[in-house]
Amino acid sequence: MSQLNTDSKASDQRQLIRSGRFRSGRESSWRELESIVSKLEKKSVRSLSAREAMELPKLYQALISSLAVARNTILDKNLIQYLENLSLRSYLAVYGPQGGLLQPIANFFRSDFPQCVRSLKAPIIISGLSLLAGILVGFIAVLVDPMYYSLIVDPQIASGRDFSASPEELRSKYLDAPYTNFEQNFIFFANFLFRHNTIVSLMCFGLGFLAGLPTIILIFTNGLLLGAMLALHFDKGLMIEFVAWLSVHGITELTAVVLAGGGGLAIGASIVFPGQWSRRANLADKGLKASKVMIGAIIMLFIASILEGGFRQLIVDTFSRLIIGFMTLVFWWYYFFKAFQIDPKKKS
Amino acid sequence: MKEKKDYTLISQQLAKLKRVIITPEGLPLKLYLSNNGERLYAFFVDCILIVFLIFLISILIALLPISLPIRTTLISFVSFLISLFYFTYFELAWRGQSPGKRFLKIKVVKRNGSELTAFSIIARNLTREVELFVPLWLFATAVDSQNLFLSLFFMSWAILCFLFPFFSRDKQRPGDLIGGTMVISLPKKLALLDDLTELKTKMKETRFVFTQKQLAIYGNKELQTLENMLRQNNKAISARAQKAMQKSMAIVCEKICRKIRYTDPVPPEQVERFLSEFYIAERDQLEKGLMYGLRKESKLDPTVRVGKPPTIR
Repeated sequence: MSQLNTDSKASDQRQLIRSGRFRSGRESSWRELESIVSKLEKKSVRSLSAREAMELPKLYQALISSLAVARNTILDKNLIQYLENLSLRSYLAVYGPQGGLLQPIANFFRSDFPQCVRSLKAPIIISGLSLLAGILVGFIAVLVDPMYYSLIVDPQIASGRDFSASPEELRSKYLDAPYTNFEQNFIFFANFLFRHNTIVSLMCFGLGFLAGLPTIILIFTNGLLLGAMLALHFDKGLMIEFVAWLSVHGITELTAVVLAGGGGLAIGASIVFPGQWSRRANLADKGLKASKVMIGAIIMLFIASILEGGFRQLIVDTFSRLIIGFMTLVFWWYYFFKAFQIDPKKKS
Repeated sequence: MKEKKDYTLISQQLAKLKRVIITPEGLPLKLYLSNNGERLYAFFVDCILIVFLIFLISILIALLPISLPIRTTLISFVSFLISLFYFTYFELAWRGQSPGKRFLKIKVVKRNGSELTAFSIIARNLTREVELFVPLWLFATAVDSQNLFLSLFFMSWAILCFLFPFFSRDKQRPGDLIGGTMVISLPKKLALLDDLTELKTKMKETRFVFTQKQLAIYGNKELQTLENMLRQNNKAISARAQKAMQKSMAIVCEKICRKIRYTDPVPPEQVERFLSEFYIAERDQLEKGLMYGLRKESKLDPTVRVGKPPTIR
């Protein structure tokens, strides 16, 4: 009986035209893939059974080759449309960020962030130089004529920190301001600073889209502000105290702003000087690196705002402040240039 | 007549949205961009969800035993974080879909067809912050301080970024440009229908015999038109639809007979059988040609082209 059955099946096979045989041999694997993909479309990879997860790549590869063959040798329109549709659905389901959120976060700190900073060296250096230029110009201008101070520094930001203030006032109001309480410092002040700084650096980054010039201007004006402040404290004989006060958070914060600016400049450069690729391809490549740098910068700003809002006023001693500032400098330098370097021998 | 016109209009619109990507396996696949209306709606849905989330968390924070200024600060901080990470989180967790996108069945993919990476998603959503949320916030503060120039500047910035996808080539917004991504509409499921050549196994014998010469007249396009007709006939269930199908099939049958000079009369009850057998014989013939690299696109294709690369329709 069974012999007869297989015989009649074999004769069926012979009777089908060639493409019918192609289909009957593969259809079950397509159907299986379709059921897995339908599951994936609704839920995550974790909803698949171990066997399904094992089968998925094999079935996907088989489908892709089926489609490649079918396009060239089969004229059944419905079949080809079905295969194309299923290929697209599986492509969309298979490719994409898989797994948890922790892995990309760990990878980001271990390799992505420092690597991207290193690979965008040139724009970051330019961004740093424009900050330095701003500081220098602000410093010299205010030293030459104190009138410039009120022009550069918005009285709202200065809030009393101007040439009419005595050194003692500056000291008691800002440099050695008493530590009020945890709530005031940590939550209120740190939060305000974080948001303000994040928006400034997002602007630096986003304005890179306009060929990078606004980024340079924005960073330069921030430098001007800092330079003018420096000149004020220099004039009052509080230079070292001010630098120490600033260095606690300032090194982290300024580095972050420079990095964000560098990211913006990289984006600008990819538009103005696209090189051998199209502008869009270039933008996609540089933009990715720049946005990694930007995310790192936001995290750095968060750290800076905690240092600024919380720790700065806890430590009153100028020397300790300088040491903390120096330590943050060493830390960032080590993080970006020494730690997590890929050994070229290992890579190959 | 009017309906037909509308149909061509729709297909024209679709053709504008059609893109071909190359998957990492090297297979070209066609897909359709989502239109800006869908994206706008998805964005609105997401905005509503964000506001709702912030509202919920604000209520939770309001229940905490802390002083008022701290409370408002906490709320503003948390809402800042939510608006910053809502899109990123969901597009990471749901492979390129935020809740709004999922609702409207659209999805983010890489423009070049490579794998959608976590950082493409982060890049496109960080830029959204600079495109829309930050300028609107700055606009509000500029209006607050009655600075006309700045408020105009920030407003036009937001409007420009908002209108960007209406003018860019792949309907990309600035964030898509930076992330190298585009937004597509998800393909609808397509069913695999029965193989029309299966009929051959059910038939005891072939009643109609066609010569090579007769089968060499039509090309792929006509074959697939016939396929459509036969499939429609299989789908027709109601008596009225079946009758209409029989009528048009009789016309087609007559036309084919005339074209290929098939002189034997086809009795009316045999029309369906005739067309099915002609379909099978014609497809077999054309597919054999394909095996040797001979492709005949349509009856207008005078010479059979050799080695022509397959076209992606």
